[in-house]
Amino acid sequence: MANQDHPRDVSTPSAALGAPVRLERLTKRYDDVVAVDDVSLDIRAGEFVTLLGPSGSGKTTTLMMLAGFQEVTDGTITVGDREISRLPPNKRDIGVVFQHYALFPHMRVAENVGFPLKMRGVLKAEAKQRVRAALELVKLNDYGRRYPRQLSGGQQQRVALARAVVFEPGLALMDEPLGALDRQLREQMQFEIKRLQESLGITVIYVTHDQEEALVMSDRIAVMNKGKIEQFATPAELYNEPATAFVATFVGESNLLHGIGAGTRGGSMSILTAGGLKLAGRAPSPIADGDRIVATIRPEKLIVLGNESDMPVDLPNRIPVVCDEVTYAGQMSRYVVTAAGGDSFVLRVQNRPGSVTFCVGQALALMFDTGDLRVFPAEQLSGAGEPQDTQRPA
Amino acid sequence: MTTIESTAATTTLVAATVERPPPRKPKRAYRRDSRLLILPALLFQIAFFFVPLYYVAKQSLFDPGFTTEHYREVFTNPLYRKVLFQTLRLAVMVTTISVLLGYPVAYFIARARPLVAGIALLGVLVPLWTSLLARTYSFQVLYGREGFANDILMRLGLIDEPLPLMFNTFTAVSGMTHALLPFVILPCVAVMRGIDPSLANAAKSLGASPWKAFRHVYFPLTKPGLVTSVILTFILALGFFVTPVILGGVSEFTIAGLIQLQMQKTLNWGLGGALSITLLAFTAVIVYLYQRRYGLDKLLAGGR
Repeated sequence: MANQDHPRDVSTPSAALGAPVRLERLTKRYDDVVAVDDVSLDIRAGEFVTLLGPSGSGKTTTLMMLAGFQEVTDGTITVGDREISRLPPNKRDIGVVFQHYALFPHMRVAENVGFPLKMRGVLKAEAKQRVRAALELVKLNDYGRRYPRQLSGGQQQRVALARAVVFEPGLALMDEPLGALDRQLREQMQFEIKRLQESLGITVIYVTHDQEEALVMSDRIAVMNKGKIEQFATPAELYNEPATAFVATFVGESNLLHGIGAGTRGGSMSILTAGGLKLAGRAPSPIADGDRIVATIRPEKLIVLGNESDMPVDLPNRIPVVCDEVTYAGQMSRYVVTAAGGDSFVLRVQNRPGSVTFCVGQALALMFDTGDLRVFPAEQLSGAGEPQDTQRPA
Repeated sequence: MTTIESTAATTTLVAATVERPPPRKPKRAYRRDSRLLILPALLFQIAFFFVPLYYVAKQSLFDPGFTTEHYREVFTNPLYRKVLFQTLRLAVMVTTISVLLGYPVAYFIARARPLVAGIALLGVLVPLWTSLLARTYSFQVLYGREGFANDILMRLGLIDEPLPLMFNTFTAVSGMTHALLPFVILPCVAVMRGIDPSLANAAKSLGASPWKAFRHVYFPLTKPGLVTSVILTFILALGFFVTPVILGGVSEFTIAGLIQLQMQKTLNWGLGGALSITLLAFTAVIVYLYQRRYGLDKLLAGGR
């Protein structure tokens, strides 16, 4: 799960098992509700792709259409060279891992894992061999004779994983598979799933509403909102260069500033905030002068200085502020600061040896790089269902 | 000295109590309380079941001295053997048909939307609220010689003579099946509702056709409900009295009818008792064998 900036080269032979997946203009309509709206995705063989979004964003519906549990209203799904949009689920050869494991309670672990082989008429001796290999892969070698209810949640999910890959599908779908586990186990399982996926070279489409999980596990993330894909990019791109206000606020923590556009110069966009600050940022989509905007900036991109005179004068984004609130949170401290016009910011500072700490009432100065302030049309947020509280406590 | 000693003893006792709060005592008290809860029902059961049963059993063996005559009669008289066999056959038929009819209905109810499921359940339950006797006699009105069914068929000219729809195995089976269907549907619905709906999807995603998903996953998981249904229906069918006697037409149709005949008409309590005990023994043996083969404990061994 290391290098997010450079997705693994998936064209190597180790990715033999993985199948490329293409969704073209995929749509799901219920009566007059559009659950999935014209979604297109091009997923490489062996890639780990996460559909991330709030509930009701259409991510699960998309997954259900991929699995064949929901009918496709419009559009096509291609896995490898097979067009599967209209095939019944049992003809799709896709491994599915369910949120609540969906292990068969009346079958032993080995029978559960052997089930897809039995359905495919694999000979008993070979099936036994493959079940053993699959259980080894998830480190449950000695659990074959147990019943699912005799296993812990994490072990059950591993059995579900083994069952979903034992028949060597080119694609595995995972629907919030770690949602029912506690935090510590979840982190461990994230690693396990990644390891499994990489060692098999299988393509994985993963659904979660947990943005941290998505960032940690994925090669690329498709952020969904209201049935549409807001952005499909690597975790680093998503975090550092969000394409929409929704992405900026849904993925990670952001400071939000309301204001109006005040002209472009070169690659940067000037804005005038509600509190009267004139700042420079980057706008992914063009914005006219005077249009209402929202601008976002990550708390850790804000550089804070104890004294305004310390600051290089030629930077465009310099803001004198007063410290309002200090929260000590161990490895870092969290500050809420407010500018004279009322614009307030949350920022986080690492507590390193020798780092300065500030106190309430202290006058400070903020600065940040133009590229870190992202400017979006305001209607992107008003249309975004329930915009998340951007100032979640650290 | 004694005072000090006893104080010391008390202190030790107190210390011991403080150190090890006795967890067992309240538990035991709770257990004793919960045992008391069944007392009223137990007394009731003794007064109105075990004592009468004891007298029935006694009467079948003592007349007035010890005798096996009644049992010999039961097992050697070809009529009784025939009726016993007929009763068993009837119970097996009724159970089989009830399960075949009831299981799909249960499946439908378990998967239906709440409103639809509610209406369907009501449809299953309403017959239970109607007097069994009234229902049984209404069968007669419909299917008797001069009944509604024959009347229609005659008027339509489809038949010239009224069909013998009543007083045979067919009507007895129909009437009993109708009366016993809820005992299949209700336990099955309860079990089916407890089955995780994603299991069927899991089976399909793993390559199972809808039929195989049913056969290998859904059906085995409904077995506890099915076993309960079969046992309930079978036991009730074996001892069923009103419906088979009225719809079967003669008292000799089932063991229950025969028992009633002995007890009330010929006043041969010894023979009636022997028949009752034999029926009870048969039921017990069959249920025991069935439990051993398909027992709930077995089914639940791997269960949820």
